[in-house]
Amino acid sequence: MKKAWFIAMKEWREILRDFYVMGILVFLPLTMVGTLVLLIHFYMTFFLQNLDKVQLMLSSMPSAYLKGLSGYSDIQKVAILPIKIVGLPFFLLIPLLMSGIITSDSFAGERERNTLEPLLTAPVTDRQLLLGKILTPFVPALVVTWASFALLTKGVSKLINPHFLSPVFPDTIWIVSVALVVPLFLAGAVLAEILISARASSVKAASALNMLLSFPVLGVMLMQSTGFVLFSARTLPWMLLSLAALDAALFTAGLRVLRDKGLRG
Amino acid sequence: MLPPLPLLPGTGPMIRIEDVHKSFGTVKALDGLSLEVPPGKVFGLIGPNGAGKTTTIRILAGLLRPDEGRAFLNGLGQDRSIETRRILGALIEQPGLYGKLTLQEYLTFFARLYDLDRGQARKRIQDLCELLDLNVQTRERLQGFSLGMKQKVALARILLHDPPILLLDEPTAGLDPLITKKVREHLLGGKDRKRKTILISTHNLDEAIRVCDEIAIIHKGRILEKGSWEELRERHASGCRVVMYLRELREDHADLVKESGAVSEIALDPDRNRLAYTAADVAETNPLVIARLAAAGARIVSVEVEGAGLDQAYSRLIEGSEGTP
Repeated sequence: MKKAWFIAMKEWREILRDFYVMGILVFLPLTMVGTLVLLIHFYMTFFLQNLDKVQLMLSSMPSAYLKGLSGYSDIQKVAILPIKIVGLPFFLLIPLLMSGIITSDSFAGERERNTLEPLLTAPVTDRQLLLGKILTPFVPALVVTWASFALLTKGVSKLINPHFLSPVFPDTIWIVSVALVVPLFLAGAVLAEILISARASSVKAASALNMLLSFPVLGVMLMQSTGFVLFSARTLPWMLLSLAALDAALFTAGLRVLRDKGLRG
Repeated sequence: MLPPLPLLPGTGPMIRIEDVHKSFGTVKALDGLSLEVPPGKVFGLIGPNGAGKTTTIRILAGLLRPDEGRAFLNGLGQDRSIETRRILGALIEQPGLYGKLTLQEYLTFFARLYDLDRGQARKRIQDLCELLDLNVQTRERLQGFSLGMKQKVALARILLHDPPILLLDEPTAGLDPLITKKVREHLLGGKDRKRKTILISTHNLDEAIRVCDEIAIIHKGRILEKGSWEELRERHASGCRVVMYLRELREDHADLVKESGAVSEIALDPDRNRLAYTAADVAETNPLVIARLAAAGARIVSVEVEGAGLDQAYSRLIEGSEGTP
């Protein structure tokens, strides 16, 4: 494990010295969270100034959205809807984009710069190398995602919670999802990106292929917005188990790629 | 103090390749190549571009898998095990450095991968930087280094763990003559000389003669001939090209050389005061030539024996194999 840390720390040092990568890592999540908070602000302001539109809005919503909200007043229902519909899948997109920026450079970049060979001839096991390559994007992407969540909590709770007797955001589903689903999802995304980077002919090809990984997240967002609520107390345990199994399978595949064919002729 | 070498040279060959074949698509890079390097010896692979030198080194380093045949390091099959990687230092083609790191950061990273603790790493890095004339304190990132400097950093990297086996692909390419000499002395001289077994690929015949105990001439993935350079010269060269520079060259100097024995292809270049000839046996002929010229009042500035006949053997072998499939 120590050598995996050496590899990750070396790569973090390189990332910290890359102005453009650092710029994107900071700018992208800030913009995404800022936009979400602003949208919720405008949305709440509109309905608070146009209370007559609240009923119309609620009646046009799919019934699945309003499930479990029967104890709330109409304005409270309106307040809680945006974070229920778009909020959580949004928090899968942030780590996916963050890790993609770093991981597409992983093996493909090392191969392009001829730095992979010294690493492959050093006494580092395939497991240590793969773990190092996982830690490199995983840690910063998770830190950025959790920091973004903290920012979102600060902004959104100010807009929404005053309309309730006790705070409703973040609720247990949000906290469990961000604390557990996000890391498991991120680990799977990183592993898939590493597999792509190990087989891709160039960084450009790896970046292009990584974009395909955002389709499942966009699918989740689409399902949520059509009323199919994926994040609930009933679905979360299954989601966690499935993601853990997927991560284990991808890790095994990653080791096989390193050992058998991906990096050597 | 560095940790003791993981495996000390035994009696069997330290480097062995058995009937290795390797193709890239339709291109045959190695065609049944076999070789052995005994402990403490320096073995040179010389051949034209695309001969299979780098492929041989990459297979030995575990970076390529042969289609057929096997490679061994100190008796261990090259299967990329940690044991084989610990006893190996491989310098392959381009230096391949992390451009955003400083020299100290780069070498410390690899020292830690090679299990040196902080103290050992610091001491070893300092010693190697001193040897290779690198400023360990520099804050400049490696991306700003010249090609020669980068090559020196790569050399320092492969020497960090003091490995008993070195695989060197054009190790002195891009180095200035002074550093080339220092590197050569470090690798091939000193008390540790016999502890290291070295396979070196080079285009530079003079370097091969200077450093190698045995030389293999490789072409189209096959070894055409191997032996010490004296043996190769004896088998395949009819003489050596000798070049002399004189203070003042005269027309009659050519006749004096001709009278000295078995010499041919005498050439005079009066503009550069340069006299050249081919001698079948330089050890026999050169003292006679020098004595005759000196007796005639010629003032000899320098005498060089080019390629010591190896260039001739090399050319003959390569040209002779051109017609073969």
